[in-house]
Amino acid sequence: MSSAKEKKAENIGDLKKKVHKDWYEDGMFEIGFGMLYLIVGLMFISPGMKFLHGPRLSMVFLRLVVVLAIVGGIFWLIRKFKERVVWNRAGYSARRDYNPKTVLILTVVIFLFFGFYVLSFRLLPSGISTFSLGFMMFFVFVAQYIQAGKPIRFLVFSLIPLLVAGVNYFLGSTLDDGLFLMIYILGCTFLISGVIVYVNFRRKMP
Amino acid sequence: MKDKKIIKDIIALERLVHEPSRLAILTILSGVKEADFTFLLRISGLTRGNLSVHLSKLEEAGYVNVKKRFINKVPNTVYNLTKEGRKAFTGYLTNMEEIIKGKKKET
Repeated sequence: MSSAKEKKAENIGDLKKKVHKDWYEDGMFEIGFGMLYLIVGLMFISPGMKFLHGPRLSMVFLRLVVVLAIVGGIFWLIRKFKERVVWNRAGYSARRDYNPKTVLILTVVIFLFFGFYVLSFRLLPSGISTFSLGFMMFFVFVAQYIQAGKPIRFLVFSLIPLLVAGVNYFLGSTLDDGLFLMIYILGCTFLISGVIVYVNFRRKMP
Repeated sequence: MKDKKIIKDIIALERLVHEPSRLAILTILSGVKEADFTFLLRISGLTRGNLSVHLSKLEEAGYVNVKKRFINKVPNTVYNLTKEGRKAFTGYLTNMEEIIKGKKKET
């Protein structure tokens, strides 16, 4: 039952890695996150979004709700796009559901992250809080790099928050300014990288 | 004596899973919630005919579930691993690891 057309057999580990890596080979993940970062970045500078600014706890939670709504919208858009452009070329696959233990750990980590964000406004000097946030984001991206099957571009993404946090620290930026700079640079990098990956994907699968 | 045990263990391996193409299909499906025929074809590198035959065998054994649907009016066949399929796959891997470990200790 073998044919000359068939490729050389791979080992189980390589095949599993190939499946994980494949989710990131249409560029949609990066385009989605790039859009998310750029839209969220707007919330920190746009005068029209002034009501969202400020360190008050209610404002921080309002930001959280707005971010979640934006995430939902982007997910919907990406799914529609994948249905029309990606799945009919590369085939469809859905990620495995996380087990409840992982979901619980992720929820705790996200709450700790936002707790830290709120506290950093009140307790830490702004230079240090942006730097710590950059450090936390670095670890999030490194985790993403490992989970995505170690594509080099994800390692580059993980270094950006650290570099920007360092620049912010030396410039003495406020937390809002620092965050804006970090999110915008990340957004642009993700978007550009996503478009390049998507163009390559379309070249491979016209 | 040890050789006989190893041979027995090898014989006890699930033959349906042991076949390389089916093992590749099960490996791919074990890493996803569900995947369609095109995805399996691309990742496994099998030919259409071979993939179709092996998927039918796995479906007959109750290791794979098949769902037919339409995406933008185009028919789409989606496969996912059943509980039995996942159990057989992990069981096969455990048995294989044990055999290799046993052989390593011996040498």
